[in-house]
Amino acid sequence: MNAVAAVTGPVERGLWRDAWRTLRTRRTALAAAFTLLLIAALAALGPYLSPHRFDALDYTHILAGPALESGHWFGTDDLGRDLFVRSMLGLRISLAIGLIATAISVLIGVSYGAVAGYLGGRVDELMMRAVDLLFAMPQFFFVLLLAVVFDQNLIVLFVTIGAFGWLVMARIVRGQTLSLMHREFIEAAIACGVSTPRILARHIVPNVLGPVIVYATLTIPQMILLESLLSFLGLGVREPLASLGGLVADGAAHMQAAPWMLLIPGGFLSLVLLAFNFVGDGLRDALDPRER
Amino acid sequence: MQRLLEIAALNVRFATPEGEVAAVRDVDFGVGAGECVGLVGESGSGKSQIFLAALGLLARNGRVSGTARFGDLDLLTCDRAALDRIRGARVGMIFQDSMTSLAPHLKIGEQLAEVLEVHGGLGSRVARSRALAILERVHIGDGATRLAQYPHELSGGMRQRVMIASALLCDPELVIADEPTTALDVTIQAQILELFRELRRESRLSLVVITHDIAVVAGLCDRVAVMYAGRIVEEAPVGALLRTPRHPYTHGLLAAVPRLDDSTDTPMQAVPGQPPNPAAWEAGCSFAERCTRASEHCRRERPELTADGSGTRTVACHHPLGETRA
Amino acid sequence: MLRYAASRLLGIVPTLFLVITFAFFVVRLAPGGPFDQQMTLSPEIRANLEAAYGLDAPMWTQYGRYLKGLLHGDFGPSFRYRDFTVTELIRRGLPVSLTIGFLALVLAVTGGIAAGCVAALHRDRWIDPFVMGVAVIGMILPLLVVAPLLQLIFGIVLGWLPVSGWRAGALDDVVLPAVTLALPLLAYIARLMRGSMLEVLASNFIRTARAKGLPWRRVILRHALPPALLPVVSYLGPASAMVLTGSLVVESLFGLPGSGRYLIEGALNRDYTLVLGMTVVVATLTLGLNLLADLIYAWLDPRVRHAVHKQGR
Repeated sequence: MNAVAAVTGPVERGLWRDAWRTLRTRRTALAAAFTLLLIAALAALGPYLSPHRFDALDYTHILAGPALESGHWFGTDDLGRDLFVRSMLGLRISLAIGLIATAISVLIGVSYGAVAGYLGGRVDELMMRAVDLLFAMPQFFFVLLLAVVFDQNLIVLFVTIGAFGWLVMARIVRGQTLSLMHREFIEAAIACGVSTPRILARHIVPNVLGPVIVYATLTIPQMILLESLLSFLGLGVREPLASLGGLVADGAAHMQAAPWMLLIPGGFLSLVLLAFNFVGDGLRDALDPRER
Repeated sequence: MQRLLEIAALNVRFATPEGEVAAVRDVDFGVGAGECVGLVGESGSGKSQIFLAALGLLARNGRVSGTARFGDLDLLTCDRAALDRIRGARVGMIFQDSMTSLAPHLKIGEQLAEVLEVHGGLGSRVARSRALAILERVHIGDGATRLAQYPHELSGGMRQRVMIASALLCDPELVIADEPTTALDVTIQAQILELFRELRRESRLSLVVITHDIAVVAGLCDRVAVMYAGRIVEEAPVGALLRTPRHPYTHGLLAAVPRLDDSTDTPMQAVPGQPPNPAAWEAGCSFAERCTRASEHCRRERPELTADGSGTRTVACHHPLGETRA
Repeated sequence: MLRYAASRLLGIVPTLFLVITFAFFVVRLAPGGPFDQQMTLSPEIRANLEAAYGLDAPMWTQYGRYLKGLLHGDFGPSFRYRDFTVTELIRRGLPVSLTIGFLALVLAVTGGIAAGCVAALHRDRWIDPFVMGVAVIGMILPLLVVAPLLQLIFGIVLGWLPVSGWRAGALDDVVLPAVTLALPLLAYIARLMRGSMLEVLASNFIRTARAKGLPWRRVILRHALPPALLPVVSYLGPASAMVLTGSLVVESLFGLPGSGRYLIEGALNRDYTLVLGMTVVVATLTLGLNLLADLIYAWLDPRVRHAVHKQGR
């Protein structure tokens, strides 16, 4: 209780400094980030470690369990394909989709939200009504529809998944922009005649970066999950390629005979999702003090 | 004669991430039956916390020590059920912000009636008529309509009256009013103060008025205590305090109020400096930094509340006004 | 209250219209036709088939016909299941899906609210971090992993519940799918409820209620709970969407003959009318449930109802 009232001089504040300091104390987030790095390394290098190809069929080892001697470290699936390599492939594809779809969401979401918040008034109202409309629609089913209609084309997959993820981002950015608009430095910039794109780019966007980073990190697992659902139902990435979702689907079908087919890709998927969520939570604690 | 409310050696501390903060330090405070006592101080001086602590309404991270005797019971040590019986029935509390202090999803009628149902075991019809009566007593017209309305449908002044009504429902012995007029504009303030005066005339109500506005206590209270940095620094009958303040802080407070007959050129007299950081702890007088009469003695040794000759006033100062320097 | 409900109901119609239109044109404008999957057809046979299904008419005519059909509850013929119309297929599957979905929602909402409240009220004891920890994991673990796992544990290893199948009226068949579907939602609602409850408990009007000497039980149930429920109610909209989405997985895994199953099969077989019809049904359900959530919200929070009045809508 007897804290000394001596003043030790102003501590350097600043958003990023504080954020870094808070982040360092969030051990779960740090552990999760570390795990993600490990997984990424595994996904990148893994396939080179094993002699097998992801689509090679090994008739001598069908539904074989994990074993070091057989060369199939994670076992094989029902067609004799090596599960280790396929899991690595699944990781790569799932992560790629997550990252690319999120990048698309961020791009669309930030632009849309910043413009809406900046222009305000009727335009903002209209733009947000559109967002509300899209939000109320059963997004997954539309993605499904588009996946079906365009025959599971990989590019379409990326784009449609990302195209539905920008909504929340837009809302957040718009909210942040609106509150920024009332700050004096923005009013000053406008009064000085700084052009709109310049204001947006140099003043608004850097200041909304915080929440954007947080939600982008939290969007990645959502995108991965969305794609996993599609693959699980058979409408995602096409054979012989597979994402983690597709692998889980295969595993579920052979659960009794070969539980490792389900548990290993399922484990990876869960780990990736958990890790991204924990990192996102940590970032939120660090960058968004209101959330405490 | 035993006073109705007797608070002794009250300390209230809060545990915060930055360390422990002492909001109330060693406070003694009492109210006699039928008396009106004012408690004056800046925001953050701890005035509200005294009573929140006494009534068991502190925030989760608050710790209280000392005694708060009400009648024959020590509020700080009695069991929950006994405390619930006292709160609302024998002690009424009026909070400052009426918009957030009333439940937004319940009608006014419900919020008033439930006090009667819980404490008096009254049926809903009787409770309703009592509620109507109390609304009339606080001069809210058209009571029937108001009972069916929600807090957000009422004006600020009306909401404050509802809060007052709610505190009076069970004819309490003591009412504590925390900044009852702060959120209101001047004309409404005057009405509310007149209402309090009326209530005092009608019943033997004991009243505690907590405020940062010294003008409020002037027309209403019998006795006034002045708080600074968690401690009581002066206490006196209201007339004496206003005419001859002894503590330099009290003097500063009074001087800061602009007078109607001042010319527009007269500079406003503020008390220089800032109140101390509640997380900090100083050895000497908390007011020493800002005091024009401070000496080295003041900075080293904390002055205790000492009574003056007449026995009606106390002041905590080494160099009080109106006395020659020792 | 009624006026609010009416105005919201009207607001749905244009949205629904847009959804149907969008879906219709997406399906029709897609590359390839519904007959491409099957054996190669000679041009004449193909032309005949298309005429029979009305695919030779200009797009707008087809659109108009489809809308008219919808008004009569006719979703058109299924391209794959030749003997059935889409309407019939939907009617077969919907009751199953709705049963499971409804059960899951009820489970998730009641369980989540209860768990969240318990955690909030016992904040200083072990219950709180325990419940929240379990909730985090339950929330994030994907349904696709949890569902087969539960099947494995309760169906195969322990043998308590059937792994799959659907017998009309059998309680056993319903339990595992409904619980699986409910879990991630329950976890999220629990966290939401806890946060909201803690916030409300710290607010001024709760302090007033306590100052009035009201018993703690009453303070919680009458003063704290209704406002604390608001975020959960807001979430009911997205929650139903989650249930709808999740039901696809659950029906697939547990072999339930629900509408989700038909949707998937239709999707895999490129049965466009079926997929289109299901999307329309799902959209209607989603919008309807969102509306319901909004109405419950308005019922709990009088300020929302009055705001509508003031704007003169």
